[in-house]
Amino acid sequence: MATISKTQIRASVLTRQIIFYAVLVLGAFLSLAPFLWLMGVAFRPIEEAYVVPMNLIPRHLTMENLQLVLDRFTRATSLVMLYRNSVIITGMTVFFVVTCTTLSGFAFSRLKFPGRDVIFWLVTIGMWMPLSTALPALYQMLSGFDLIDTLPGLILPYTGWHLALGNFIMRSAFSAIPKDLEDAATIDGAGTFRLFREIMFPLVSSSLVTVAIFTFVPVWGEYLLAFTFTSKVDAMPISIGIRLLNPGAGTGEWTFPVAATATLISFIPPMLIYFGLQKWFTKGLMEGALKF
Amino acid sequence: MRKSMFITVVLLVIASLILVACATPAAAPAPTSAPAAPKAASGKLRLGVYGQYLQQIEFKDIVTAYNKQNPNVQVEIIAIPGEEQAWNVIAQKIQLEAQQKKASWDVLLGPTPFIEPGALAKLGLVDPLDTLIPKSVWDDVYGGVLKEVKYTGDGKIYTFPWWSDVFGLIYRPSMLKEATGSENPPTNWDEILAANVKIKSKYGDKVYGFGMDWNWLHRSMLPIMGTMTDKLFTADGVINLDDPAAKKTLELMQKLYPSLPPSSAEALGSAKAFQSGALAMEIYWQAQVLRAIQAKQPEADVKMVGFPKGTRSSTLFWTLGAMIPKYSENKEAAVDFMLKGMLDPLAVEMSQPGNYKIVPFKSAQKKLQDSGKQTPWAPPLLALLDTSEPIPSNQYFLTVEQPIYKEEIEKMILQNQSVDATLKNMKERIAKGVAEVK
Amino acid sequence: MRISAQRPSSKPLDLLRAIWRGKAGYLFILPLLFFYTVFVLYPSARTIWMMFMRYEFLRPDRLQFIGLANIIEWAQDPRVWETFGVALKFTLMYVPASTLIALIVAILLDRVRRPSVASVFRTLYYFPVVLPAGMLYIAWQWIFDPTWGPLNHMLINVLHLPVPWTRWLGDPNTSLLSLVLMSVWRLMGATMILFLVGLNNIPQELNEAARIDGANEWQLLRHVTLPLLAPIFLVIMVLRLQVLGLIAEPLFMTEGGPVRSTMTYGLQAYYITFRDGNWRMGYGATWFVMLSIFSTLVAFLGWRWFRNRID
Repeated sequence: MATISKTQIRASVLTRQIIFYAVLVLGAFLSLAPFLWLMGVAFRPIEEAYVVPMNLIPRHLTMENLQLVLDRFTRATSLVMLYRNSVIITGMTVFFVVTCTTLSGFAFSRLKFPGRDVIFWLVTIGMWMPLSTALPALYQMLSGFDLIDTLPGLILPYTGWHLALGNFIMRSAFSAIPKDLEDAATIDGAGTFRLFREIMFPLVSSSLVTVAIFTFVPVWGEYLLAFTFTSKVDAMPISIGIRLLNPGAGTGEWTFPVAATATLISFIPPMLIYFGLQKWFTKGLMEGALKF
Repeated sequence: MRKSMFITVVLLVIASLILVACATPAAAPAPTSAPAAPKAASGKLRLGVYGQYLQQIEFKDIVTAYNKQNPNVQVEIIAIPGEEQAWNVIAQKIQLEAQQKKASWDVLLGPTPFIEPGALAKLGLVDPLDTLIPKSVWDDVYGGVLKEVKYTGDGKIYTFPWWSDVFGLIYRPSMLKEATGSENPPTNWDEILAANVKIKSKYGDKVYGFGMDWNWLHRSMLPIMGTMTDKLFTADGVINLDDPAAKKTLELMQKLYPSLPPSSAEALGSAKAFQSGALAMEIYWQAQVLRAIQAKQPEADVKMVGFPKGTRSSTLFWTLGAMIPKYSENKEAAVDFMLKGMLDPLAVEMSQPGNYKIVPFKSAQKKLQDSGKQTPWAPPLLALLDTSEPIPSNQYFLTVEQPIYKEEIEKMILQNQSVDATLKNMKERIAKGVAEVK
Repeated sequence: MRISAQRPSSKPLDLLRAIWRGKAGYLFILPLLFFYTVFVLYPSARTIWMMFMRYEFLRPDRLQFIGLANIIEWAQDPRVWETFGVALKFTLMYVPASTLIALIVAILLDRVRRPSVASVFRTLYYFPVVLPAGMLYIAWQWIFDPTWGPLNHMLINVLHLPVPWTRWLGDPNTSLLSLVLMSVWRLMGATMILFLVGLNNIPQELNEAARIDGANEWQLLRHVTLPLLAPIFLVIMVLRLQVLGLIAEPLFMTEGGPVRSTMTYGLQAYYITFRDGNWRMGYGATWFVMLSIFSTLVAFLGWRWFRNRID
């Protein structure tokens, strides 16, 4: 013991810390690299884009690609309207999914009622149900309700098709809560609803945010339903707008930096919402941690 | 406590039910039966256009020009997120809407005869245009294109042609000069193979000799085979694999493969290499010239000529056009817009030189020529338009032939399947697939 | 609680009583059931019904009830095993790789002391997940491009690595691997978050107790952390089973090629339904439904097995 001096220990701790953070930074870099490269392409002048091999980092930067893309986009449709639709559709869907699955997750893990497991697995099977084959039936049904070309026409089916995953996650979240907590509350005379609202609900908030994000991401980018069920700009989400920016083989005037810029533009909304929601995300996780 | 929870749940259900109920669109229901047709078209026209064309063409200008001729039609432009690969999604949407006796678009601009109409005409979801459009207009269309827009199932026309893409040889004179000593492009396949050898010895791996998308039937095998036989398709409109030209084409493709850029398996892989100055020659349609110039390859150093010859002169082409869905709510205006809007001088001049497209009407090309606006690459391509075989518009080209071709050609090129075995597999599988579809 | 054990009641009455006692449970799942039945179950039931029909999209005139013919054809179709093998190969490469990386990252992140630093890293690692997949597929096609793509440029010209293959998506031997690479990059964050949630739920006292008992980091991981993460592993396994039905990646990036090397079960089913021949929707539905049944069965058995081990 005496042979190892304090500075040596400190040095070895320091080296470990350095390696630790180096690994983390390297990993973070790898996960960002494709995105950074794409940005490099989007803001480089065209002379630097069509060269073999293409430099990883542009020598000059330019905004002209952005201008070109915006021109093209306005020519095709209204950007503001598409954004508005997407926010409403995604927001409502996330709200419905989170509410439904929080309630059901609690029931499936903590309450006893006949048919519970059967119903649970019936819902879970939905995770592997292919949406594309159910499309004709859905269309006929929504058409019967006069819901084609409306926002609820997308919100309602989206909610239905994203319940399975949320339900599964919330059920696991509730199951992870120690039984003693429940017993203690029951002894205190808490009924089912008080148990849910005052004891259980605060403990699963982090999973709730997880479900919200897991729902948000696919709904924001969904294309097949959105395309089939909407054709007017007042109900069309941005995921369709992104498609409008896709290059066609038959057309000229589509260079690689322009396409990269269009790609980046389509990334902005989810990025904004993600970084905006980040606080919640973190808070949710930390709250979950503090409670234990 | 219990009550409040219960109420929340009930409210949630009620809220969602209200959401369903409130969603009924406020718009007045459209009249289902069209009023007795007055001569002059009028009313609302919902013009659906593929997004990829909206991006580069000022459709508003075309609509303004059209409204000068007929101010009674209110045109609403609706962007369709359609692409070549998403044609089945569009077909499905039209089919589902038709079941409700509805259509989102009164006229649909963007389909290519061999892609969407094949499926839609078979289902009877688009209207034939033979009698809706005057005969004098059809007589003005180039022979090959007129054949292209006819659905082979019933011989009727379902697409009104607008802008054509024609295959030719696109090349870099400076590279050819350095490698072969002459700026003049090779004119037949033997010369191309010879040039490839010289380019390889001059540039090594830096510049590839020859480019094409080899796993797309209509971008490689068909145009090449067309230069070796005049019986490219059987009476049924299926690719004629019994013709000796089929085997010769596959052998030629095997010989060309080592000179292709490595990314030429994907759509436009070779075009990208050409844009980057890493390719000396490619067979593509005119848009790729424009793309190369926009990728800042020197304009004087990107040239296009007619398609290389085999035993005969031929090429391949396709035409983007317009269709009228069966449940279109204003067919008179749709036809009127086709004749006056799509063929307005302004729309014709947008095609050349700006967009590197060919309007396949003889009178329109004559006018361009007379006004000196016709581009130098157009005449050699136009010369081939009348005589070449078009891709048949039928129900097997995309759904049976293309997937089988792609797989077998990949086996031949990447896994050394022999030419004979490839041909045999293709014959057997396509025959079986076509029989199933029938 | 025991009062209900009255002898003379008949079985249906028992059930009714049980249902009445479980009324709170039904109330809680009511909203879920509403959405699920109307918008998922009902249309899916029609899909299942299609299994027993000859339903070809482009030949509506041939619609006919054909009983089990589709299922019999499915059972004899050699493409089922071939494409399922491709999907399985993808799963066996993708799931372990992505789970292991995510676990390591999550454990590392869990040890970052400062919450703000941890939050920054977490944000960056999760970032690719939120990007719209459709555009990422196009971007990754560029990245893999053999002529001027950055991946080859980076590996060969910058890092001077001896790369055994350079054609990535265009080579039947590496196309599937390329898709795995992209998917690991794209979705690692989603798995990582699940692990982080799980790690956060582990009481800090447990770790400290183990440390006091003299456990080193490895033992702590082996005997405390990993066992407590068991439910998370289960969630991940169930989630990742979806990979067996993989459609979008091969559809948009390789179209199943070259030479069917990326023709997954899901993509083959998609092509049968929406591309090949007459679009045999009835037969395509059979492919999809069979996969759903298989996936659920595996998930269910895995869940049972896990639950038994945890108890």
